Amino acid sequence: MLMKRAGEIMMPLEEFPYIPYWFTLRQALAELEEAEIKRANQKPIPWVILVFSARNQLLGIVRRREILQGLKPSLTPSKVRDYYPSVPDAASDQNLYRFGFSPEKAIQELRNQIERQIIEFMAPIQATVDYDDYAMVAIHLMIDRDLSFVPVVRDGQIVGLVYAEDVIHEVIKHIV
Amino acid sequence: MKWLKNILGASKAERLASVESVQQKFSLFQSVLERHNQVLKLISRLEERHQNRKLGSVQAVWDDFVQIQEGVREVIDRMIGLGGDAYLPLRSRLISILKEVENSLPGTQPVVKDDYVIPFSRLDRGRAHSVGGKNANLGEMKSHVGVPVPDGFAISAWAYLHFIEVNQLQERIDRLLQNVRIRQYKDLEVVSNDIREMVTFRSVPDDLAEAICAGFDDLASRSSRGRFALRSSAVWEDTTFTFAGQYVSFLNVGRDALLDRYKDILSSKFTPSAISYLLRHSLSEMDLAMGVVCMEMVDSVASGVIYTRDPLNPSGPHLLVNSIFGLGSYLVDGRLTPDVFHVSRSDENVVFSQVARKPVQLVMRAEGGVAEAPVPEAEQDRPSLNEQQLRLLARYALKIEEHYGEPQDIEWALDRSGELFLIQARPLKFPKARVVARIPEEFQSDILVKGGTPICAGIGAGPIYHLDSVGELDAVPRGAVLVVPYPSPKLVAVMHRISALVSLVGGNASHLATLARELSLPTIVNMQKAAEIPQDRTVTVDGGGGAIYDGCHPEWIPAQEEEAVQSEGSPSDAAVEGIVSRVTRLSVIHPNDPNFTPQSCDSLHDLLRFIHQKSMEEIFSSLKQTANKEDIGLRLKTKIPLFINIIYLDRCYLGNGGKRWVREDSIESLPMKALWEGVLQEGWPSRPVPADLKGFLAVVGTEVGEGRQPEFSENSYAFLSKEYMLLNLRMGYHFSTIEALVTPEPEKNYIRMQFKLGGAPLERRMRRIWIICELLKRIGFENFSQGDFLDTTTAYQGPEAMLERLRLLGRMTILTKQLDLTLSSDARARWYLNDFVQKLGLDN
Repeated sequence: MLMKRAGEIMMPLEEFPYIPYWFTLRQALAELEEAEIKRANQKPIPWVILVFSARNQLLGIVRRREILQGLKPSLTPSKVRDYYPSVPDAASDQNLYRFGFSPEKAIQELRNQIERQIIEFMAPIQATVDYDDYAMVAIHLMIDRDLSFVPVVRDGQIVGLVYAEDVIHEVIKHIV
Repeated sequence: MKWLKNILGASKAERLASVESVQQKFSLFQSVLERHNQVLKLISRLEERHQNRKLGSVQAVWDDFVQIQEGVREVIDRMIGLGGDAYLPLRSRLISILKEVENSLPGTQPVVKDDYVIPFSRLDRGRAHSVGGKNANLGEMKSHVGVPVPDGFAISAWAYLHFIEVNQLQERIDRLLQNVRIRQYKDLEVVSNDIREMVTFRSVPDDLAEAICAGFDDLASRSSRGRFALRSSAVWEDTTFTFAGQYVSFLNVGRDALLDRYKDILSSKFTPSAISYLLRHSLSEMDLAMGVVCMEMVDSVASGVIYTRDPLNPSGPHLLVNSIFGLGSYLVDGRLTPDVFHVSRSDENVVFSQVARKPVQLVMRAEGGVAEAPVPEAEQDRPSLNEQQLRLLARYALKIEEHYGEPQDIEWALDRSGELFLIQARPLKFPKARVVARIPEEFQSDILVKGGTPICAGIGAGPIYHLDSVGELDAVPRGAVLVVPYPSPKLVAVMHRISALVSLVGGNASHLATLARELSLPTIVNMQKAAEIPQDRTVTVDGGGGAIYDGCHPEWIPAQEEEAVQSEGSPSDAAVEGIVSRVTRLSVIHPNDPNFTPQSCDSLHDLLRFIHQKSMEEIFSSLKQTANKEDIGLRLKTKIPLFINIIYLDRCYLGNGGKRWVREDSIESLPMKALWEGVLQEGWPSRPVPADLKGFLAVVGTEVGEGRQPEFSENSYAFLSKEYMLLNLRMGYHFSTIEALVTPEPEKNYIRMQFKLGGAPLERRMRRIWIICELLKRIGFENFSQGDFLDTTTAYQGPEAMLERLRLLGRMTILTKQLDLTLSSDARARWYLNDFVQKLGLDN
């Protein structure tokens, strides 16, 4: 049995939402909502938005993690320490953090964040594999760069994403 | 040197030539629009008068027709100048439309041989073809009705023919007419004067002169009065389409002036419009043969007109008499307000009288001719007829009506001895009852909205239905009062099933106005406040009064029975209808229809509409094909990262050396300025990408690579004049072309946008088109889309509304940049649509 190529196990590009990098967190959230509805009956795949440039070049991705990053309020546990320099373990004192944080204030903070442009919090793309590369190439890249997916390139265009889960699944077939 | 040229681009001379050629095209385009608009105004004036039954004489209609066809011919010539030989078929189409008009007109008959001079006693109404209607009716009344008619004789049409023949005028006139090549109205006037002069300076042939003088002497010997009048009596008057000077009269003509006045009457028929009629019909001027009346003049103390039916109330029980002191001319030409009497048809009692102040009168001068004389102060307010005279007059009139079997329009005169004479009778023509709405006073307080521009009179009642977009016509309920944002010709699809139409904007000259008049649909335009009437509220629209009333009042719709009283349409009415419809009728073929061709134009109006559409397309494509676009013009200086070349169409500006930049705040084009304001309001969305993200060359989802399409190898460019803009914008992966003309005249204005391509798969590009269409619909655009191509237009708005739309277009241009890529589902498209609707403030 031949090992499959990256192109054969990738998720094709059409499966993903993508937006230009100047779009906002609000627009990204709308994409997230939509994806939740659409995925109800589908094979669960890790949700991701592709972010591209004015020349349609792939720049990065947005996952839930980046969304949270984007929503991050100005007051974080690590900043609490700045407010209470005399308290040594202020940063780890959850109560101290909660103390300065009301729901109203939180909503207000979120509203302030929501028009941030995606480029401020997206995760940049660091590597790609070629459509005809063996799945192993993707594994190596993922290990090397600490990634959970790699974009697949064919003829100079991004055509899909290879996920760690799918690569592992393919490799297992050959070694177990 | 070639390599140098390659580096430097086109030479200065070449660039200059490019600019000049494009400016020349543009000025041709403007001249097409300019003339087109003038002619459109003539057409809508004709339409309006036709609608309001105020066409006046056939001659007036023909005059309009001649002017309009000249205008259309000129517009066609200019169009051929602009668009080239492809538009030559317009000429032949014009010719065939004009031919159709001619064919619809009643024909004429040859002049019959008769005596030159025939006394009234030998005439009856059967001789109209020989001596003209006026002569024949005078003879008929004298011999067969038994009412007092002054004595007189007719000079026949045959005599006229003789005059023309002997003087060889036919040939000369033909020669003059051949030289009228361009058929300009002004040329016609010149020829008209030439011919009239020619007729006046020929002498009356001896035998004819003898006959006329003998007739005159004979009449004078029988007459105790000794004063005579000459009046025209056109042969085909009232029976066909003639331009004989029907109303030329000479009063108090002595024997020595007799022949000169006779020639004056003959020449009076060569009016410019009559000549153009001859030209059109390849008729000889014989077909407009002219009889002349010579009759005793009544030295009248009072004279006037009696109608055997009241034109405003034809079924009423009385006759209508108008009367003044002195000779009747001052009544006919409207110089004096006459006394008005209503006399009962059953017992000849005077049931109504309204005496006017009559300060002057027209009297005969002893030496010939007539003169104005004051009416003594004490007499001025006295009735010009007494009751006994009115009764007698009524009796005569009813007798004549009975004889002819139809209502009559009769001229009468009262002489110094108190004797009444009838000096002309003809069938009474009722103005076609214009259905006048009579809205009772007490409902004035029920007016919901007023002050709109009336387009078509009439009453229509029903529930209000607000139509936001002409794309949703199917939903319009039967019998509704339809309120639309702007007058789109597409509305014709529902106009037969609604009871009234109200447009928030618009003017008299829109295509819709034409259609509304044609369909007699009560219609008001330019009525912003109608937008505030709630949906489904039942209202009554008074199209003529430009007002909307609360509640349903079908009883205000006048009964149609008056129509039945109208006399049969005469041939000249038919001629008028034929002309008017060939001029004004608009076939509603959409420009995208393959049948939108010169061949399918059925009227002059159709031709104009076709040319209007095509002239825009022509300027559009010739501007786009301009050579050296890259090298000519100025560069827009802006923070927005778009390279826009500006080429001014109304100024000489090569942009070579010296100033090469145009600042955003000094754009000298209203449409461009407005659009750019919109662009700046949204602002360019993308900040530069941080350096560490660059260099990643994989591209998402493009089907169109850079440089693969010629459109994409170009920079953006703009052709501008003060009122015009053609902007070709390359925005990343799509391009849009926005064209706009914004002038103070709403009829000229339009915006057109074409939009194509994008980087995403077709499905997503189509979703973006859908969003754009939805937004445009909300601001009054008509969209045509196919796949990912959008062609959208709006027109007929005032300058403010147009500029506002351009601002919105500018904002939309930015908002939808590269939006297509993100539109992975219809739900996403809907989300963005809602988002943009809110952002642009279109959600009310």
